Amino acid sequence: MVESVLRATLLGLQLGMTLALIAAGLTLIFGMLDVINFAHGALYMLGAYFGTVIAGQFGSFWLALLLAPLMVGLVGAAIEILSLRPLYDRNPLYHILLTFGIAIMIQGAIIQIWGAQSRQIPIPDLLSGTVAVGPVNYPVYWLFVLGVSTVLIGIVWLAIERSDLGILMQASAHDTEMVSALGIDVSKVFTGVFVFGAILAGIAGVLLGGSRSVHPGMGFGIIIEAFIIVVIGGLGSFRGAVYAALLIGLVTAYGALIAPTLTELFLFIMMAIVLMAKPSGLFGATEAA
Amino acid sequence: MSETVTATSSDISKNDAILRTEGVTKKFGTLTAIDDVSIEIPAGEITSIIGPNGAGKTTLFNLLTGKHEPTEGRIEFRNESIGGLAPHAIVDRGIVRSFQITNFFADLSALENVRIATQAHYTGFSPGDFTRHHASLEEPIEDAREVLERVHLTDVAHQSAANLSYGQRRHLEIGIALAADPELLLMDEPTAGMSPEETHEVVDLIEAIAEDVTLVLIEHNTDIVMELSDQIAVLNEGELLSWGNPEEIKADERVQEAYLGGGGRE
Amino acid sequence: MKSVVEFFDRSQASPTGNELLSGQGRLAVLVSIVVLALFAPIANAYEPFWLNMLVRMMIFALLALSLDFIFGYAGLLSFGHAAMFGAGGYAAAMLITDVTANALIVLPIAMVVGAVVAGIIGWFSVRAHGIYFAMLTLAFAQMFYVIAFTDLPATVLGLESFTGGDNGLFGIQRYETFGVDFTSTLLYFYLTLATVALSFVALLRLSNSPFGRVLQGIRENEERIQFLGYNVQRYKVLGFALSGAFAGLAGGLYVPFQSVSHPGLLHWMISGELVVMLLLGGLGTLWGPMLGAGLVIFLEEQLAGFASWEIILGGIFVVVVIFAPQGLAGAITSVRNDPKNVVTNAKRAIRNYVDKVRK
Repeated sequence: MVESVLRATLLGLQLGMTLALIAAGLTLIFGMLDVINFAHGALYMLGAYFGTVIAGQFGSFWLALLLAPLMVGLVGAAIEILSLRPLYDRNPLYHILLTFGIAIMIQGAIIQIWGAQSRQIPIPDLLSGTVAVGPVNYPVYWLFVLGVSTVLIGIVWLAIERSDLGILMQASAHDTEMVSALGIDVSKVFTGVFVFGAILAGIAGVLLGGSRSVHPGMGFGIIIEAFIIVVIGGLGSFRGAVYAALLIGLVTAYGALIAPTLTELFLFIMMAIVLMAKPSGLFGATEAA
Repeated sequence: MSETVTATSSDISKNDAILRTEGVTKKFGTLTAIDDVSIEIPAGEITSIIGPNGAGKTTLFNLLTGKHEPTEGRIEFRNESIGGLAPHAIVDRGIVRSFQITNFFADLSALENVRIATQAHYTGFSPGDFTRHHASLEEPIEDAREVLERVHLTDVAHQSAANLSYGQRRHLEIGIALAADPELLLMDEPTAGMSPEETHEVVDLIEAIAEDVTLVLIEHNTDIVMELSDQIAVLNEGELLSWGNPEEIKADERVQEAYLGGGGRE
Repeated sequence: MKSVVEFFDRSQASPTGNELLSGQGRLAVLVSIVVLALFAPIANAYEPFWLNMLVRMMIFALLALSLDFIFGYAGLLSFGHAAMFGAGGYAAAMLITDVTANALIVLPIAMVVGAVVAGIIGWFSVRAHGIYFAMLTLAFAQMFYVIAFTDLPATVLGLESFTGGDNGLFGIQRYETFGVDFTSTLLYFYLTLATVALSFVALLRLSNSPFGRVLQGIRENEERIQFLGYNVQRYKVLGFALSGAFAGLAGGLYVPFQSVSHPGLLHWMISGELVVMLLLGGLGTLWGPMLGAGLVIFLEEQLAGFASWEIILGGIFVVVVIFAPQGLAGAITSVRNDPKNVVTNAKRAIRNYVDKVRK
C-alpha cells in the first residue's frame, strides 16, 4: 500500500513537472500574445520526433535533448512570424482556428515523413535500470525526467519573477502600448515568447519520448491535458500553470490506483467546475472593474 | 406604442420617489466606486447626476440597471427591491438606459435597430416566435417607425446604422432606449461630443421625452444641467456630495469647490 | 410542405431589409437540390462510390449547418458539437437495434437527444464568453466522449453493455419506413437529401424568426440586447439546444449509413474538423459551411491515397484563415460583386500580408 502510494506520488510529480513544461509555454503565449495555441501539442510532438531522429542518427540522447528543442524553436519562430503576426488585430477566435490548422498540418507532415507506427527515443545506459527509493524500485530515467523538468521550471520561474525580461513580459501582456512607448519592439518580444514556449514543449517532447511511445496522435492527446491545466491555473498565469500541472499529475497518478477509467472524466469535471465557479482560473487575475 | 406608455403608475403619483437607493455601496476589490449613496428620484421629473470624471456616475447607472450588483445597500423601484436582479428583469420593470458610447447594431438599418427593441414587447418563447418571419409581425415595425419619428430619423430609417452621422447616431441611441418603453430612462451623456446645434436638438428631444417619462441624466454640460433639471445630485469620489434643485446646487460651496468652480468641467 | 413552397415563393424583400439569403441565393439552393437529385441515379449507375461520398458530404453539411446556426449566426463558438452528433448517433443505433428502424420515429428522437445534450452543455457554458465558452463546450463534450468510451452507463446501471465501450455499437441496419427499405445507397441518398433540405429550410426560417433576430443581436452586441429586456442566457441556451437538435439529426443519419456507432463520433477532433469546415465555407451564411463540409469530405476522400491529407487540408485551412477570413462564401460573394478587381484584390491581400509579417 505504502509502496504503491509512494510510487504514484513520484510518478505524479514527474508527470506534473513535464506537463508544467508544456503548460508553461501555453499559458505564457496566451498571457502575452492573447493566443490560444492549439499547435502547442504538435510542437511537443515535433520535439519527440526530432529527438528520435537525432538520437537514432548520432546515437546520442544528450545531443537530442540539446538540439531537438532548438529545432522546435525554429519551427515556432516560423509559425509566429509567418502566420500569427498578420493576425494579431483579428478576433482571438481566428487564432484558435489558425493554430488548429497548423496542428493538423504538422500531424500530417509527421505521418507523411515518419509514418504512423510508434517509436521511442533510446535512452543512455547511464539512465537505464532502476534505483531504490525507500521501499520502491523506481526507474532511473523517470527520476531524471523529474529532476530535469523541476530544475527547468525553477529557472523559468526565477526568470519570470526576477529578471528584467520576465518583468517586461508581464508588462507587455497587460500594456503593449506602454512597452512600445519604452522603445521596445513588441513584435520581437512576441516572437521571443512564442519561441521560448516552443522550446519548452520541445524539451518535454524529448524527455517523455524516452519513456512513452512517440506516435502521431500524441500531440492532440497532450493538448487537451495542457488546456485543462492552463484553464484551472488561470489562463496566462505561469505560477497557476505550474501548480495546476502538479495537481493534475498527482490526480492522474493517484486516480490510476483508485479508478483508472474515471480519472480522465474527473479531470474534465474539475476543469468545468473551475470555469464555472471562477472563469479566470484559480490563480488568474480577479474580475476587473 | 404610445398607448402602453404610462408616465406614472397608479401607486406612484408625480413627485413621489419612483426610484430610491439606501446606502448603496459598490466595491471592486479594494476600490470603492460608490460609497453609501442614498438618493430618491421623483417621478415625472428630470434628475441630473453630475460630478467629475471617476466620481462613479456610470457605476451608479450600472448598479441601477443590474450590470453590477451592489456590495451593500438597497435599491427600490416603485417600492420594490430590484438590487441584484438581472438586467433584462430590470428592463421588464421599466428602467431603461441609453449609453454614453453609442451602443447599437452597426450592420443593421436604423429601423431594424429600433425594431429589435420594440420586438421585445411582442415576442418571447412561444412556438410562433421560432417559426414565423420576423417581418410578418406588424406591430413592432409600426412601433419602431413611431419611435424613429419621435427621434427625427424617419428619413434615414433604411440606412445602416454605421452610415449615420454622429448626431443621428446619438438620436438612434436614444431611440433604441425609448423603444424599450421605459417608465424611468437613464441617459448617459446624451449630448457628449455634439455641436451647439446638435446639442440644442437633443435638449428639445429630452424635454419632449420628459413629458411622459421620468428621466435621470448624466451630463457634463452644466448649462444644460441647470436648464433641464428639476433635481441635481452631485457625486464626488463615489460619495453623494450634494443634492437639491439647481439654485441650491449653484449656491452650495462644496460643489463650487469640487466641481463647478474648481477648474470647470472636463 | 407548405413552408417549403412559401420559402421558395417569398419574392418580396423584407420591409426591414437584412434578409439572410437573397432571392437569388434561394434559387441557387433550389437548383443545387434538383441537380443533386438528378445526378444521383447517374452516379449510382457508373460510380457508386461517388454516391456514398455524396451522402457523407450531405450529412456533414447538415452538421456544419447546425454549428453555423449557433457560431456563425449567434456568435457562440462551440468546440463540442461532436457530443450532440455522437449522442444522436448512439440514440439511433440503440433504437434501431432494439425498437424500430422507422426513420420517422428514430430521427426525431435523435433530434431530441441532441437537443437535450446541447441543453445540458449549453446551460453550464453560456455564462462564459468567447474562448472560455469554447473551452467549456470542449470539456463537456469530451466528458461525453469519455463516458461513451469507458461505457460508464453500463457500470453504473450494472448492465453488460450500453455504449459498447471503445468498440461501439456495430451492425446497425439502415432505416425502413412504412415498407420503404433504405438499404440501397440511392434511396438513402434521397432520404438524406430530403432531410438536409428540410433542415436547411427550417434553420433559415429560424434564423429569420423573431427568435433568430435576437440571437443575431446577441452576436452583434450582447450588452445592448440585455438592456433591451431580453434574457440573453435563455436565448443562448435555447439556441444551443436547437443547434444540437440538428447535430443529433446528422448523427441519426450518419450512424445507420456507416452501420456503426463508436466513441470517435463524440471526439473533439470531429468538433475541430467541423469548425474547419465552417470557416472554410464562410461563417454565418448557412450555405457556405455546407459547401465547406462538402469540400473537406471530398478532399479527405481524394487525398487519402495521394499523400497525408492532413497536410493539404491543414494548409488550405491556414491559407483561408490568413487570406480569406470570410471563407469560400466570402470569396464567391466578392468575385460576384466585383469581378473586375479580383486580381487587384488578391494582390492587395498578399501585399497586406507581407507588410504585416515584415513589421
